[in-house]
Amino acid sequence: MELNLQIQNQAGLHARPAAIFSQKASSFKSNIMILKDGKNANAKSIISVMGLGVKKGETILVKIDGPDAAEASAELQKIVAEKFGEE
Amino acid sequence: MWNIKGIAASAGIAIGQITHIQEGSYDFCSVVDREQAPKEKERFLAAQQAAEIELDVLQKRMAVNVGEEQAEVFAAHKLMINDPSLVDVVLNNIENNFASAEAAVEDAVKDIAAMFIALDNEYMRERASDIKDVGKRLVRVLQGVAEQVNYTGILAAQDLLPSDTASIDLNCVAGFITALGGKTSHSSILARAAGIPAVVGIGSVLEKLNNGDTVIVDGHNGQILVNPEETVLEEYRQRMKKEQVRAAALAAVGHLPSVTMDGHPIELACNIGTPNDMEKVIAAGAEGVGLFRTEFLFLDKTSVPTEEEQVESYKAVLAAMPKNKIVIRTLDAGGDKQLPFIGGLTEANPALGLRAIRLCMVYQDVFKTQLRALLRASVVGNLHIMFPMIATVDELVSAKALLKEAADELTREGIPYRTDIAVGIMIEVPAAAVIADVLAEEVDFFSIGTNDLVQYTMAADRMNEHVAWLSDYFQPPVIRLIGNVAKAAQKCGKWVGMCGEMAGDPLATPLLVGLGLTELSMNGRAVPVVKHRVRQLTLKQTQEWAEHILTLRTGSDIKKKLEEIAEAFEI
Repeated sequence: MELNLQIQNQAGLHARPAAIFSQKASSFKSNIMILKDGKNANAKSIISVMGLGVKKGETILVKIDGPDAAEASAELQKIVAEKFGEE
Repeated sequence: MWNIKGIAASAGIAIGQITHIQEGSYDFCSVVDREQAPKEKERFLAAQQAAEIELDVLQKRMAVNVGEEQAEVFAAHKLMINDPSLVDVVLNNIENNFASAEAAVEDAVKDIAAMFIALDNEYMRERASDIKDVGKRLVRVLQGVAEQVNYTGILAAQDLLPSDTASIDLNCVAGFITALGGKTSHSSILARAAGIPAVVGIGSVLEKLNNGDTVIVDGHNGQILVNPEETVLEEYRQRMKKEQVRAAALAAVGHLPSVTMDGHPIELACNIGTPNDMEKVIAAGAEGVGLFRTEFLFLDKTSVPTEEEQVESYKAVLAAMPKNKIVIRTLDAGGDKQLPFIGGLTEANPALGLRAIRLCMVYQDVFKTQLRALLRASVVGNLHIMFPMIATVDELVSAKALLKEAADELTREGIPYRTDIAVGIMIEVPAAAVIADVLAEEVDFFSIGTNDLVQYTMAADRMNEHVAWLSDYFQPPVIRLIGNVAKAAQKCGKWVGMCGEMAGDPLATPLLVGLGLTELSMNGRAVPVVKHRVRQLTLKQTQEWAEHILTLRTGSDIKKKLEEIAEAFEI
C-alpha cells in the first residue's frame, strides 16, 4: 500500500514531529518506508525520518507492507493531517 | 613554574589540581573473532540499557536543577539510543563484519552525524552533536567506565557543552580552563553564574596540562600559573583570603539602597530569562528587572506560543515585584537563535541578518500577539516595553505603531491594559548610538546592550577566539558611543540604563555612573559587588573621571585608569 502525504506543519519533520511519526509507525507490525527525493527511510526510526530533512509543503511517499497496513495508513494520514498537534 | 595567558572569563582565584574532562578516547579492537560476535551483540544490548538508565537520571537531574525544557534533550537521546537506524546498523555490522561493539557504534554514529550535517538546515545540523553525544555515551559504557560526575578541582576541557554541565556538580569545582570560547561562550556564562573562576580561550596549550598538575587560575587577569613555587602559592592563598573578607563585606551590603555618597540613586536591576528567575532577583537585593529576555517562550517550540500562554508568563514576572520597574524585551530571535516555527532562513551572515525587530516586523502576526500579551499583562505591575536591535527611526516608529494597533484592538474588545507603559529601545547597533539624539525624542528610555554593541562596533564576532582581544567594552570607540547615548538621552530628559555584560563589571561602574547612566542591569551575583562600589562613589568625582577617560586613546589605557580608580577603594 502506498500513500502520498504532504507535510503541512510549519517546522516540517523536525525533531518533535519526527518523533511522533516514528513512534506511531513503530506501533504497527507492517514494514513502513518513506521515500523522498530518491532517499528512503525506515519510518520507525526517528533518526532516518529526521535525516530526510522534510520541510513544510513537501510531499513524502509512504510504502506500507504488512498485516496491519490499512490501519497504519489511516493512522499516519491522520497525524499528518492534524499537523502533529501543532498550529 | 610556567604561565599560560588566556581570556579572563570569570573573576576570582582558584588553586587546585587539573582534571581533564574525559573526551573519551578509549583503546579497543575494531574487529573480534567470528565466535565472539554473539557476545558483542549482548554487550551492545546491555550497554544500551545502561545508557538509557543514565539518561533517565540526567533528565531528572536537569529538570530539577535547570528546567523541564532543558531536560528534554535527554529524552531525545533516549529515542536515538533505541532507534533502529542506530541499533540495526550496529547489530548488522557486528554480525556480518565481526566489528567490536565499540567500533560498530562509532561507525554508525559517524554515518548518522554526516547525514545530519548534510542537511540544509542549521537546526537539523545541530542534531549531529546529539547523536555524537549518544555515541560517546555508549562507547564509554561499553568500556565499563562510569560517567564521571564527581569532577573536582580545576576542570580543563576543549569547551563545556550544556550536556557536559548537566553532569558536573558545580559545588565540587574550583575553577574552569577551556581551550575554546570567549567571554560570552556558554562555559564562561556558566562559570560567572556559579561564581567559579575561569580562564578560557587558551588554545592548544591545554594539552600541555597534565592531570594532577597544581595550577593557580587567576580569573581576574586571565592567567594560569602551572606548578607554581611555594612562595607564589602562598601569595595567592593570601589573595584568596582577602577575597573572602571582601565577600563577607559584600554580603553585608545586602538590601541597603544603591546610592552614591552624595545621594544620587543608581538603580540596580537584574537580567532574567524565565519567570522562575524572579526569586533570585529578590534575593540579590536588586530593585527590579532591567532585561527580561522573552525568547524562552519561543525557542524550541514548534508553534507560536499563544497569547494566553504569554500573558501568564509576563504576569508572573510583573506580579513578583508589582511596584518595581520590569523591562520586558520583545522577541529577539533570528541570528544564532532560530525559531523552529518560522523555519530555517539561509543567511550568509545571520548576525547582520533578519533578526530581532527586523524579524518581528516581517512576522507581524507573531509580534502583535506578543504586544497584545504584554499590554494585557501590564495591569498587574510596572511594565516597560523594550524593542531590540533598533537601527533607524523608521523601525522604531513602525514598532510603536503596531503597539498602538494592538492597544486599539484591546480597547475595542474591552480588555483592560495600562496606558502609562514606558516604551524604550535597546541600543546595541552603532547606528542607533550615533543617532541617539533623534531616537531619544521617540522613547521613554534607552538600555545599552554592550555585548552586541561591542561586536558590531569593533566588527569582531564575540564567539571567535581569533579576534577575542577586540571584544572589549573598554575600547575607546565603545566608551565614546556610550557617552554619546547618555548625553543625547539626558538632553531629552530620558533615562539611560545598561543591560549588557559591562553593567555587572564593578571596574566599569565609576565610568558608567560618570557618563550619566542611572540604571544598571546584571546577573544577580554581580548586584552586591556593584552596589558596594556605587556606595563608595560621588557623582561629581565620577564625572571628572569620565571626562578624562573619554580623552584616552587605547582600551588598555582606559582599563589601567579604571584599575587605578578601583585600587583606591578599600575593598
